[in-house]
Amino acid sequence: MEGSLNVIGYGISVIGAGIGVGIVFGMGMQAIARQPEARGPLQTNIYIGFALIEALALLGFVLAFAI
Amino acid sequence: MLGLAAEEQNVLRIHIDELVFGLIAFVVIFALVYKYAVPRITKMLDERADSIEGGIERAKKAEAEAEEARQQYREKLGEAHRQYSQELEKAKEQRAAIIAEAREEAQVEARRIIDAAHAQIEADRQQAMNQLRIEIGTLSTDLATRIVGESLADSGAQGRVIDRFLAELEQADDAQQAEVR
Amino acid sequence: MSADTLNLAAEGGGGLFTPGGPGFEAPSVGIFFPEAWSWGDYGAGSPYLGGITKYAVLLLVATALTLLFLWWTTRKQTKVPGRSQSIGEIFFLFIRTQISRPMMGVKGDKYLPLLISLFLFIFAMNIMGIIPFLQLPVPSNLSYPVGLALIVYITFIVVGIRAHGGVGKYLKSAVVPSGAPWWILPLLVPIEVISNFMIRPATHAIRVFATMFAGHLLLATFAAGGWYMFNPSAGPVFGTISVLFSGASLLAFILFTAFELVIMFLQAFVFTLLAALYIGEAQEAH
Repeated sequence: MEGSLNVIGYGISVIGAGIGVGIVFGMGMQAIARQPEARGPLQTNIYIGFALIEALALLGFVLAFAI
Repeated sequence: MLGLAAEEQNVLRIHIDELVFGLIAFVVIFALVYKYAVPRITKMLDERADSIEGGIERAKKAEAEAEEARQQYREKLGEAHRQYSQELEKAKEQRAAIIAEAREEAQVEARRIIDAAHAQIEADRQQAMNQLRIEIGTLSTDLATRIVGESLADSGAQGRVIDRFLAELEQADDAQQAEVR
Repeated sequence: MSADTLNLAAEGGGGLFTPGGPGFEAPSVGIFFPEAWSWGDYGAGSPYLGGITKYAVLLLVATALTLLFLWWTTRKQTKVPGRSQSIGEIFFLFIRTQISRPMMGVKGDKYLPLLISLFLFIFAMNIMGIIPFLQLPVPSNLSYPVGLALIVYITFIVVGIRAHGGVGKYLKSAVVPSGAPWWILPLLVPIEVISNFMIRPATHAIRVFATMFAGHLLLATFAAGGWYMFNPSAGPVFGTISVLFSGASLLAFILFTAFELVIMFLQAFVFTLLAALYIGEAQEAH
Protein backbone atom coordinates (compact mmCIF):
# COMPACT_ATOMS: atom_id res chain seq x y z
CA MET A 1 0.00 0.00 0.00
CA GLU A 2 1.26 3.39 -0.84
CA GLY A 3 0.11 6.82 -0.06
CA SER A 4 1.05 10.14 1.29
CA LEU A 5 1.58 11.24 4.85
CA ASN A 6 -0.33 14.35 3.84
CA VAL A 7 -3.52 12.37 3.78
CA ILE A 8 -2.98 11.03 7.28
CA GLY A 9 -2.22 14.52 8.47
CA TYR A 10 -5.38 15.75 6.85
CA GLY A 11 -7.35 13.01 8.53
CA ILE A 12 -6.03 14.07 11.91
CA SER A 13 -6.51 17.76 11.29
CA VAL A 14 -10.06 17.36 10.16
CA ILE A 15 -11.00 15.97 13.57
CA GLY A 16 -10.81 19.52 14.89
CA ALA A 17 -13.03 20.86 12.17
CA GLY A 18 -15.47 18.02 12.74
CA ILE A 19 -15.70 18.81 16.43
CA GLY A 20 -16.09 22.49 15.60
CA VAL A 21 -18.91 21.92 13.14
CA GLY A 22 -20.59 19.63 15.63
CA ILE A 23 -20.40 22.26 18.33
CA VAL A 24 -21.70 24.97 16.01
CA PHE A 25 -24.76 23.01 14.96
CA GLY A 26 -25.39 21.54 18.38
CA MET A 27 -25.30 24.92 20.05
CA GLY A 28 -27.34 26.34 17.24
CA MET A 29 -30.05 23.74 17.75
CA GLN A 30 -30.00 24.44 21.46
CA ALA A 31 -30.33 28.15 20.88
CA ILE A 32 -33.19 27.68 18.46
CA ALA A 33 -34.91 25.33 20.86
CA ARG A 34 -34.62 27.90 23.62
CA GLN A 35 -35.74 30.80 21.49
CA PRO A 36 -37.60 29.60 18.44
CA GLU A 37 -38.58 33.15 17.50
CA ALA A 38 -34.91 34.06 16.95
CA ARG A 39 -34.56 31.32 14.36
CA GLY A 40 -33.76 33.59 11.40
CA PRO A 41 -30.66 35.42 12.68
CA LEU A 42 -29.49 32.32 14.55
CA GLN A 43 -29.64 30.26 11.41
CA THR A 44 -27.68 32.84 9.49
CA ASN A 45 -25.00 32.94 12.15
CA ILE A 46 -24.90 29.16 12.38
CA TYR A 47 -24.14 28.94 8.69
CA ILE A 48 -21.53 31.70 8.85
CA GLY A 49 -19.76 29.82 11.64
CA PHE A 50 -20.15 26.54 9.86
CA ALA A 51 -18.66 28.00 6.69
CA LEU A 52 -15.70 29.45 8.60
CA ILE A 53 -14.91 26.19 10.37
CA GLU A 54 -15.48 24.13 7.28
CA ALA A 55 -13.07 26.45 5.51
CA LEU A 56 -10.30 25.22 7.80
CA ALA A 57 -11.02 21.59 6.96
CA LEU A 58 -11.13 22.43 3.28
CA LEU A 59 -7.85 24.30 3.49
CA GLY A 60 -6.41 21.14 5.00
CA PHE A 61 -7.87 19.13 2.15
CA VAL A 62 -6.35 21.41 -0.44
CA LEU A 63 -2.98 21.41 1.24
CA ALA A 64 -3.03 17.63 1.54
CA PHE A 65 -3.34 17.28 -2.21
CA ALA A 66 -1.44 20.35 -3.33
CA ILE A 67 1.77 19.96 -1.41
CA MET B 1 -1.47 11.23 -23.84
CA LEU B 2 -3.02 9.08 -21.18
CA GLY B 3 0.38 8.55 -19.64
CA LEU B 4 1.04 12.22 -19.69
CA ALA B 5 -2.28 12.92 -18.05
CA ALA B 6 -1.66 10.21 -15.54
CA GLU B 7 1.59 11.84 -14.57
CA GLU B 8 -0.18 15.04 -13.76
CA GLN B 9 -3.00 13.56 -11.80
CA ASN B 10 -3.49 16.56 -9.64
CA VAL B 11 -6.89 16.38 -8.01
CA LEU B 12 -7.08 20.14 -7.76
CA ARG B 13 -6.76 20.77 -11.45
CA ILE B 14 -8.82 23.47 -13.04
CA HIS B 15 -9.25 22.96 -16.73
CA ILE B 16 -10.22 26.13 -18.52
CA ASP B 17 -12.31 24.34 -21.12
CA GLU B 18 -14.29 22.38 -18.54
CA LEU B 19 -14.82 25.52 -16.54
CA VAL B 20 -16.19 27.23 -19.64
CA PHE B 21 -18.45 24.26 -20.40
CA GLY B 22 -19.80 24.48 -16.90
CA LEU B 23 -20.38 28.20 -17.19
CA ILE B 24 -22.18 27.82 -20.51
CA ALA B 25 -24.40 25.11 -19.10
CA PHE B 26 -25.15 27.23 -16.07
CA VAL B 27 -25.93 30.28 -18.17
CA VAL B 28 -28.36 28.25 -20.27
CA ILE B 29 -30.12 26.99 -17.18
CA PHE B 30 -30.11 30.41 -15.58
CA ALA B 31 -31.58 32.00 -18.69
CA LEU B 32 -34.40 29.49 -18.74
CA VAL B 33 -35.08 29.88 -15.04
CA TYR B 34 -34.90 33.66 -15.22
CA LYS B 35 -36.91 34.18 -18.37
CA TYR B 36 -39.34 31.32 -18.21
CA ALA B 37 -39.70 29.30 -15.04
CA VAL B 38 -39.63 31.80 -12.21
CA PRO B 39 -41.92 34.41 -13.81
CA ARG B 40 -44.44 31.74 -14.62
CA ILE B 41 -44.36 30.26 -11.14
CA THR B 42 -44.51 33.59 -9.36
CA LYS B 43 -47.29 34.78 -11.64
CA MET B 44 -49.33 31.70 -10.93
CA LEU B 45 -48.69 31.89 -7.19
CA ASP B 46 -49.69 35.54 -7.14
CA GLU B 47 -52.77 34.81 -9.17
CA ARG B 48 -53.78 32.04 -6.85
CA ALA B 49 -53.22 34.18 -3.79
CA ASP B 50 -55.23 36.92 -5.47
CA SER B 51 -58.10 34.65 -6.29
CA ILE B 52 -58.16 33.16 -2.81
CA GLU B 53 -58.13 36.58 -1.25
CA GLY B 54 -60.72 37.76 -3.75
CA GLY B 55 -62.89 34.77 -2.87
CA ILE B 56 -62.71 35.62 0.79
CA GLU B 57 -63.48 39.23 -0.04
CA ARG B 58 -66.41 38.20 -2.17
CA ALA B 59 -67.77 35.93 0.53
CA LYS B 60 -67.51 38.74 3.07
CA LYS B 61 -69.30 41.11 0.73
CA ALA B 62 -72.05 38.58 0.09
CA GLU B 63 -72.43 38.05 3.81
CA ALA B 64 -72.71 41.77 4.39
CA GLU B 65 -75.27 42.03 1.62
CA ALA B 66 -77.30 39.20 3.09
CA GLU B 67 -77.13 40.82 6.49
CA GLU B 68 -78.31 44.08 5.01
CA ALA B 69 -81.14 42.38 3.17
CA ARG B 70 -82.17 40.64 6.35
CA GLN B 71 -82.12 43.91 8.19
CA GLN B 72 -84.24 45.51 5.52
CA TYR B 73 -86.63 42.62 5.59
CA ARG B 74 -86.89 42.85 9.33
CA GLU B 75 -87.55 46.57 9.14
CA LYS B 76 -90.19 46.04 6.52
CA LEU B 77 -91.80 43.35 8.57
CA GLY B 78 -91.87 45.62 11.58
CA GLU B 79 -93.34 48.39 9.50
CA ALA B 80 -96.01 46.07 8.19
CA HIS B 81 -96.84 45.00 11.69
CA ARG B 82 -97.07 48.59 12.80
CA GLN B 83 -99.21 49.54 9.83
CA TYR B 84 -101.48 46.60 10.44
CA SER B 85 -102.02 47.50 14.04
CA GLN B 86 -102.59 51.11 13.04
CA GLU B 87 -105.16 50.02 10.52
CA LEU B 88 -106.78 47.84 13.10
CA GLU B 89 -106.91 50.71 15.55
CA LYS B 90 -108.36 52.97 12.90
CA ALA B 91 -110.91 50.40 11.93
CA LYS B 92 -111.93 50.00 15.56
CA GLU B 93 -112.27 53.73 15.93
CA GLN B 94 -114.26 53.91 12.75
CA ARG B 95 -116.53 51.15 13.92
CA ALA B 96 -117.10 52.91 17.20
CA ALA B 97 -117.72 56.16 15.39
CA ILE B 98 -120.15 54.53 13.01
CA ILE B 99 -121.98 52.89 15.84
CA ALA B 100 -122.13 56.11 17.79
CA GLU B 101 -123.34 58.03 14.77
CA ALA B 102 -125.96 55.45 14.01
CA ARG B 103 -127.11 55.49 17.57
CA GLU B 104 -127.33 59.23 17.60
CA GLU B 105 -129.16 59.27 14.33
CA ALA B 106 -131.54 56.68 15.58
CA GLN B 107 -132.15 58.66 18.74
CA VAL B 108 -132.71 61.82 16.75
CA GLU B 109 -135.07 60.00 14.47
CA ALA B 110 -136.91 58.51 17.39
CA ARG B 111 -137.25 61.87 19.01
CA ARG B 112 -138.36 63.36 15.77
CA ILE B 113 -140.99 60.66 15.37
CA ILE B 114 -142.09 61.07 18.94
CA ASP B 115 -142.24 64.82 18.51
CA ALA B 116 -144.18 64.42 15.34
CA ALA B 117 -146.57 62.08 17.10
CA HIS B 118 -146.95 64.52 19.92
CA ALA B 119 -147.56 67.31 17.52
CA GLN B 120 -150.11 65.22 15.68
CA ILE B 121 -151.81 64.32 18.86
CA GLU B 122 -151.82 67.91 19.96
CA ALA B 123 -153.14 68.99 16.59
CA ASP B 124 -155.84 66.32 16.74
CA ARG B 125 -156.76 67.36 20.21
CA GLN B 126 -156.87 70.96 19.18
CA GLN B 127 -158.98 70.15 16.18
CA ALA B 128 -161.23 68.02 18.27
CA MET B 129 -161.51 70.80 20.79
CA ASN B 130 -162.28 73.31 18.11
CA GLN B 131 -164.85 71.06 16.58
CA LEU B 132 -166.27 70.35 19.95
CA ARG B 133 -166.42 74.02 20.69
CA ILE B 134 -168.13 74.74 17.37
CA GLU B 135 -170.49 71.91 17.84
CA ILE B 136 -171.24 72.93 21.36
CA GLY B 137 -171.86 76.42 20.15
CA THR B 138 -174.14 75.19 17.38
CA LEU B 139 -175.87 72.91 19.79
CA SER B 140 -176.25 75.65 22.28
CA THR B 141 -177.64 77.92 19.66
CA ASP B 142 -179.88 75.18 18.44
CA LEU B 143 -180.97 74.43 21.91
CA ALA B 144 -181.49 78.01 22.63
CA THR B 145 -183.57 78.45 19.46
CA ARG B 146 -185.66 75.43 20.30
CA ILE B 147 -186.05 76.52 23.80
CA VAL B 148 -187.03 79.91 22.71
CA GLY B 149 -189.40 78.53 19.99
CA GLU B 150 -191.13 76.04 22.34
CA SER B 151 -191.57 78.46 25.14
CA LEU B 152 -193.56 80.54 22.88
CA ALA B 153 -196.01 77.75 22.21
CA ASP B 154 -196.18 75.55 25.19
CA SER B 155 -194.50 75.27 28.50
CA GLY B 156 -195.26 71.59 28.54
CA ALA B 157 -193.63 71.26 25.30
CA GLN B 158 -190.67 72.99 26.72
CA GLY B 159 -189.95 70.17 29.07
CA ARG B 160 -190.22 67.64 26.26
CA VAL B 161 -187.74 69.59 24.19
CA ILE B 162 -185.28 69.55 26.95
CA ASP B 163 -185.66 65.87 27.50
CA ARG B 164 -185.37 65.14 23.80
CA PHE B 165 -182.28 67.29 23.58
CA LEU B 166 -180.67 65.53 26.45
CA ALA B 167 -181.49 62.13 24.97
CA GLU B 168 -180.03 63.19 21.67
CA LEU B 169 -176.99 64.41 23.40
CA GLU B 170 -176.64 61.16 25.21
CA GLN B 171 -177.11 59.21 22.03
CA ALA B 172 -174.42 61.27 20.29
CA ASP B 173 -172.15 60.79 23.22
CA ASP B 174 -172.64 57.02 23.13
CA ALA B 175 -172.07 56.90 19.43
CA GLN B 176 -168.97 58.97 19.79
CA GLN B 177 -167.67 56.69 22.53
CA ALA B 178 -168.37 53.62 20.45
CA GLU B 179 -166.56 55.25 17.60
CA VAL B 180 -163.54 55.87 19.77
CA ARG B 181 -163.61 52.38 20.99
CA MET C 1 -17.66 4.53 -11.13
CA SER C 2 -18.45 0.90 -11.18
CA ALA C 3 -17.35 0.52 -14.76
CA ASP C 4 -13.90 1.81 -13.95
CA THR C 5 -13.56 -0.01 -10.71
CA LEU C 6 -14.94 -3.22 -12.13
CA ASN C 7 -12.39 -3.03 -14.88
CA LEU C 8 -9.76 -2.37 -12.33
CA ALA C 9 -10.78 -5.36 -10.27
CA ALA C 10 -11.30 -7.52 -13.31
CA GLU C 11 -7.88 -6.69 -14.61
CA GLY C 12 -6.59 -7.88 -11.29
CA GLY C 13 -8.40 -11.07 -12.16
CA GLY C 14 -7.91 -12.48 -8.72
CA GLY C 15 -9.78 -12.34 -5.52
CA LEU C 16 -9.65 -13.05 -1.90
CA PHE C 17 -7.96 -16.31 -0.92
CA THR C 18 -6.48 -16.91 -4.34
CA PRO C 19 -2.97 -18.13 -3.70
CA GLY C 20 -0.50 -16.09 -5.59
CA GLY C 21 -3.21 -13.76 -6.82
CA PRO C 22 -2.79 -10.03 -7.03
CA GLY C 23 -3.27 -8.06 -3.90
CA PHE C 24 -6.17 -5.68 -3.45
CA GLU C 25 -5.76 -2.49 -5.33
CA ALA C 26 -7.90 0.21 -3.84
CA PRO C 27 -9.35 2.60 -6.35
CA SER C 28 -7.01 5.55 -6.68
CA VAL C 29 -7.64 9.11 -7.72
CA GLY C 30 -7.20 7.82 -11.25
CA ILE C 31 -10.91 7.18 -11.40
CA PHE C 32 -11.38 10.93 -11.49
CA PHE C 33 -9.28 11.25 -14.62
CA PRO C 34 -11.28 9.57 -17.35
CA GLU C 35 -9.64 9.35 -20.72
CA ALA C 36 -10.43 12.24 -23.03
CA TRP C 37 -11.93 11.74 -26.46
CA SER C 38 -9.81 14.31 -28.13
CA TRP C 39 -9.47 15.17 -31.78
CA GLY C 40 -6.59 16.96 -33.35
CA ASP C 41 -4.44 18.68 -30.84
CA TYR C 42 -7.36 19.69 -28.69
CA GLY C 43 -6.82 18.83 -25.08
CA ALA C 44 -3.74 16.82 -25.71
CA GLY C 45 -1.23 17.22 -22.96
CA SER C 46 -2.12 20.72 -21.96
CA PRO C 47 -2.42 21.17 -18.22
CA TYR C 48 -5.22 23.68 -18.80
CA LEU C 49 -7.39 21.60 -21.10
CA GLY C 50 -9.16 18.44 -20.13
CA GLY C 51 -10.61 17.63 -23.51
CA ILE C 52 -14.01 16.06 -24.04
CA THR C 53 -14.09 13.64 -21.17
CA LYS C 54 -16.80 11.74 -19.40
CA TYR C 55 -17.24 14.86 -17.31
CA ALA C 56 -18.28 16.94 -20.28
CA VAL C 57 -20.78 14.30 -21.37
CA LEU C 58 -22.21 14.04 -17.87
CA LEU C 59 -22.40 17.80 -17.72
CA LEU C 60 -24.57 17.71 -20.82
CA VAL C 61 -26.74 15.02 -19.27
CA ALA C 62 -27.10 17.00 -16.06
CA THR C 63 -27.99 20.15 -17.99
CA ALA C 64 -30.54 18.26 -20.02
CA LEU C 65 -31.99 16.81 -16.83
CA THR C 66 -32.31 20.24 -15.28
CA LEU C 67 -33.92 21.72 -18.36
CA LEU C 68 -36.29 18.78 -18.52
CA PHE C 69 -37.25 19.27 -14.90
CA LEU C 70 -37.87 22.96 -15.50
CA TRP C 71 -39.92 22.30 -18.60
CA TRP C 72 -41.87 19.54 -16.93
CA THR C 73 -42.80 21.54 -13.85
CA THR C 74 -43.75 24.77 -15.60
CA ARG C 75 -45.15 23.38 -18.81
CA LYS C 76 -48.76 24.24 -18.09
CA GLN C 77 -49.74 26.60 -15.37
CA THR C 78 -53.23 26.38 -13.94
CA LYS C 79 -54.79 27.80 -10.83
CA VAL C 80 -55.49 24.32 -9.52
CA PRO C 81 -52.03 22.78 -9.85
CA GLY C 82 -51.44 19.39 -11.31
CA ARG C 83 -48.82 16.96 -10.09
CA SER C 84 -45.87 18.40 -11.98
CA GLN C 85 -46.82 21.99 -11.28
CA SER C 86 -47.12 21.22 -7.59
CA ILE C 87 -43.61 19.81 -7.56
CA GLY C 88 -42.30 22.93 -9.22
CA GLU C 89 -44.12 25.20 -6.80
CA ILE C 90 -43.03 23.22 -3.76
CA PHE C 91 -39.45 23.43 -4.96
CA PHE C 92 -39.77 27.16 -5.62
CA LEU C 93 -41.26 27.77 -2.19
CA PHE C 94 -38.64 25.57 -0.58
CA ILE C 95 -35.87 27.70 -2.01
CA ARG C 96 -37.68 30.86 -1.04
CA THR C 97 -38.64 29.98 2.52
CA GLN C 98 -35.57 27.96 3.44
CA ILE C 99 -32.79 29.81 1.67
CA SER C 100 -33.71 33.18 0.28
CA ARG C 101 -35.96 34.67 2.94
CA PRO C 102 -33.92 33.76 6.06
CA MET C 103 -30.67 34.93 4.48
CA MET C 104 -31.72 37.97 2.47
CA GLY C 105 -35.22 38.90 3.50
CA VAL C 106 -37.87 40.00 1.07
CA LYS C 107 -35.51 42.18 -0.93
CA GLY C 108 -33.56 39.04 -1.84
CA ASP C 109 -36.43 37.73 -3.91
CA LYS C 110 -34.85 39.09 -7.08
CA TYR C 111 -31.96 36.67 -6.66
CA LEU C 112 -34.32 33.71 -6.60
CA PRO C 113 -33.64 32.74 -10.22
CA LEU C 114 -29.92 32.58 -9.47
CA LEU C 115 -30.43 30.47 -6.37
CA ILE C 116 -32.88 28.16 -8.08
CA SER C 117 -30.60 27.56 -11.02
CA LEU C 118 -27.63 27.03 -8.71
CA PHE C 119 -29.47 24.50 -6.61
CA LEU C 120 -30.94 22.61 -9.53
CA PHE C 121 -27.73 22.57 -11.51
CA ILE C 122 -25.54 21.43 -8.63
CA PHE C 123 -28.01 18.81 -7.53
CA ALA C 124 -28.30 17.48 -11.06
CA MET C 125 -24.51 17.37 -11.39
CA ASN C 126 -24.16 15.66 -8.02
CA ILE C 127 -26.78 13.09 -8.73
CA MET C 128 -24.82 11.89 -11.74
CA GLY C 129 -22.74 10.06 -9.14
CA ILE C 130 -25.40 7.55 -8.23
CA ILE C 131 -27.22 7.07 -11.51
CA PRO C 132 -26.25 3.60 -12.74
CA PHE C 133 -23.81 3.48 -15.68
CA LEU C 134 -23.04 7.17 -15.40
CA GLN C 135 -21.75 7.14 -11.83
CA LEU C 136 -19.39 10.02 -11.73
CA PRO C 137 -20.45 13.14 -9.85
CA VAL C 138 -19.59 16.07 -12.07
CA PRO C 139 -18.45 18.37 -9.23
CA SER C 140 -15.72 15.88 -8.37
CA ASN C 141 -13.84 17.73 -11.09
CA LEU C 142 -12.88 21.02 -9.47
CA SER C 143 -13.38 22.99 -12.71
CA TYR C 144 -17.18 22.90 -12.51
CA PRO C 145 -17.75 24.07 -8.93
CA VAL C 146 -15.10 26.72 -9.45
CA GLY C 147 -17.11 28.13 -12.31
CA LEU C 148 -20.23 28.33 -10.19
CA ALA C 149 -18.39 29.78 -7.21
CA LEU C 150 -16.88 32.36 -9.54
CA ILE C 151 -20.34 33.43 -10.63
CA VAL C 152 -21.46 33.81 -7.04
CA TYR C 153 -18.23 35.65 -6.21
CA ILE C 154 -18.69 38.17 -8.99
CA THR C 155 -22.36 38.53 -8.17
CA PHE C 156 -21.87 39.35 -4.54
CA ILE C 157 -19.08 41.80 -5.23
CA VAL C 158 -21.18 43.60 -7.85
CA VAL C 159 -24.21 43.59 -5.57
CA GLY C 160 -22.12 44.95 -2.71
CA ILE C 161 -20.66 47.74 -4.79
CA ARG C 162 -24.09 48.70 -6.03
CA ALA C 163 -25.73 48.53 -2.61
CA HIS C 164 -23.03 50.63 -0.95
CA GLY C 165 -22.66 53.04 -3.82
CA GLY C 166 -18.99 52.71 -4.64
CA VAL C 167 -16.07 50.33 -4.52
CA GLY C 168 -14.40 52.06 -1.59
CA LYS C 169 -17.49 52.11 0.58
CA TYR C 170 -18.21 48.47 -0.10
CA LEU C 171 -14.65 47.43 0.65
CA LYS C 172 -14.71 49.41 3.85
CA SER C 173 -17.93 47.80 5.00
CA ALA C 174 -16.76 44.34 4.02
CA VAL C 175 -13.25 44.53 5.37
CA VAL C 176 -13.33 46.82 8.39
CA PRO C 177 -15.32 45.25 11.21
CA SER C 178 -17.59 47.77 12.83
CA GLY C 179 -16.96 48.50 16.47
CA ALA C 180 -13.35 47.32 16.56
CA PRO C 181 -10.78 49.60 18.23
CA TRP C 182 -8.38 51.28 15.82
CA TRP C 183 -5.20 49.61 17.08
CA ILE C 184 -6.45 46.13 16.27
CA LEU C 185 -7.40 47.02 12.70
CA PRO C 186 -3.96 46.26 11.21
CA LEU C 187 -4.46 42.73 12.44
CA LEU C 188 -8.12 42.38 11.58
CA VAL C 189 -8.18 43.90 8.12
CA PRO C 190 -5.79 41.42 6.46
CA ILE C 191 -7.66 38.55 8.09
CA GLU C 192 -10.95 39.91 6.81
CA VAL C 193 -9.54 40.45 3.33
CA ILE C 194 -8.19 36.93 3.15
CA SER C 195 -11.29 35.44 4.66
CA ASN C 196 -13.87 37.38 2.66
CA PHE C 197 -12.26 37.65 -0.73
CA MET C 198 -9.93 34.64 -0.98
CA ILE C 199 -10.92 31.80 1.30
CA ARG C 200 -14.60 32.36 0.90
CA PRO C 201 -14.92 31.66 -2.84
CA ALA C 202 -12.26 28.96 -2.64
CA THR C 203 -14.01 27.03 0.10
CA HIS C 204 -17.33 27.67 -1.56
CA ALA C 205 -16.14 25.72 -4.59
CA ILE C 206 -14.03 23.18 -2.77
CA ARG C 207 -16.79 22.20 -0.34
CA VAL C 208 -18.92 20.65 -3.06
CA PHE C 209 -15.91 19.28 -4.84
CA ALA C 210 -14.44 17.62 -1.73
CA THR C 211 -17.63 15.98 -0.59
CA MET C 212 -18.37 14.63 -4.03
CA PHE C 213 -14.80 13.49 -4.47
CA ALA C 214 -14.62 11.75 -1.12
CA GLY C 215 -18.07 10.24 -1.38
CA HIS C 216 -17.38 8.87 -4.79
CA LEU C 217 -14.06 7.44 -3.66
CA LEU C 218 -15.80 5.80 -0.74
CA LEU C 219 -18.40 4.18 -2.96
CA ALA C 220 -15.70 3.09 -5.40
CA THR C 221 -13.75 1.50 -2.59
CA PHE C 222 -16.75 -0.45 -1.39
CA ALA C 223 -17.59 -1.58 -4.91
CA ALA C 224 -14.02 -2.59 -5.67
CA GLY C 225 -13.65 -4.34 -2.34
CA GLY C 226 -16.88 -6.22 -2.81
CA TRP C 227 -15.78 -7.34 -6.24
CA TYR C 228 -12.36 -8.29 -5.03
CA MET C 229 -13.66 -10.38 -2.17
CA PHE C 230 -16.20 -12.23 -4.28
CA ASN C 231 -14.43 -15.54 -4.83
CA PRO C 232 -16.76 -18.53 -4.40
CA SER C 233 -14.33 -20.91 -6.11
CA ALA C 234 -11.85 -20.74 -3.25
CA GLY C 235 -13.14 -23.85 -1.57
CA PRO C 236 -16.18 -24.49 0.61
CA VAL C 237 -15.05 -22.61 3.73
CA PHE C 238 -13.12 -19.76 2.19
CA GLY C 239 -15.63 -19.40 -0.58
CA THR C 240 -18.46 -18.92 1.90
CA ILE C 241 -16.44 -16.44 3.89
CA SER C 242 -15.54 -14.47 0.82
CA VAL C 243 -19.14 -14.36 -0.34
CA LEU C 244 -20.25 -13.17 3.09
CA PHE C 245 -17.59 -10.46 3.08
CA SER C 246 -18.60 -9.45 -0.38
CA GLY C 247 -22.25 -9.28 0.69
CA ALA C 248 -21.35 -7.04 3.61
CA SER C 249 -19.46 -4.80 1.25
CA LEU C 250 -22.43 -4.71 -1.11
CA LEU C 251 -24.75 -3.80 1.75
CA ALA C 252 -22.43 -1.01 2.82
CA PHE C 253 -22.29 0.14 -0.80
CA ILE C 254 -26.06 0.37 -0.96
CA LEU C 255 -26.33 2.13 2.39
CA PHE C 256 -23.64 4.59 1.47
CA THR C 257 -25.32 5.23 -1.85
CA ALA C 258 -28.43 6.31 0.03
CA PHE C 259 -26.23 8.35 2.34
CA GLU C 260 -24.58 9.92 -0.69
CA LEU C 261 -27.96 10.96 -2.03
CA VAL C 262 -28.61 12.84 1.20
CA ILE C 263 -25.13 14.37 1.06
CA MET C 264 -25.66 15.44 -2.54
CA PHE C 265 -28.87 17.19 -1.65
CA LEU C 266 -27.28 18.74 1.40
CA GLN C 267 -24.28 20.02 -0.50
CA ALA C 268 -26.44 21.58 -3.18
CA PHE C 269 -28.46 23.14 -0.37
CA VAL C 270 -25.39 24.41 1.47
CA PHE C 271 -23.86 25.82 -1.69
CA THR C 272 -27.05 27.71 -2.49
CA LEU C 273 -27.47 28.78 1.11
CA LEU C 274 -23.95 30.17 1.29
CA ALA C 275 -24.44 31.95 -2.03
CA ALA C 276 -27.55 33.56 -0.56
CA LEU C 277 -25.67 34.38 2.61
CA TYR C 278 -22.82 36.05 0.76
CA ILE C 279 -25.12 38.05 -1.48
CA GLY C 280 -27.30 39.03 1.46
CA GLU C 281 -24.28 40.13 3.46
CA ALA C 282 -23.01 42.20 0.55
CA GLN C 283 -26.28 44.00 -0.10
CA GLU C 284 -26.82 44.74 3.56
CA ALA C 285 -25.93 48.40 4.01
CA HIS C 286 -24.20 49.08 7.29
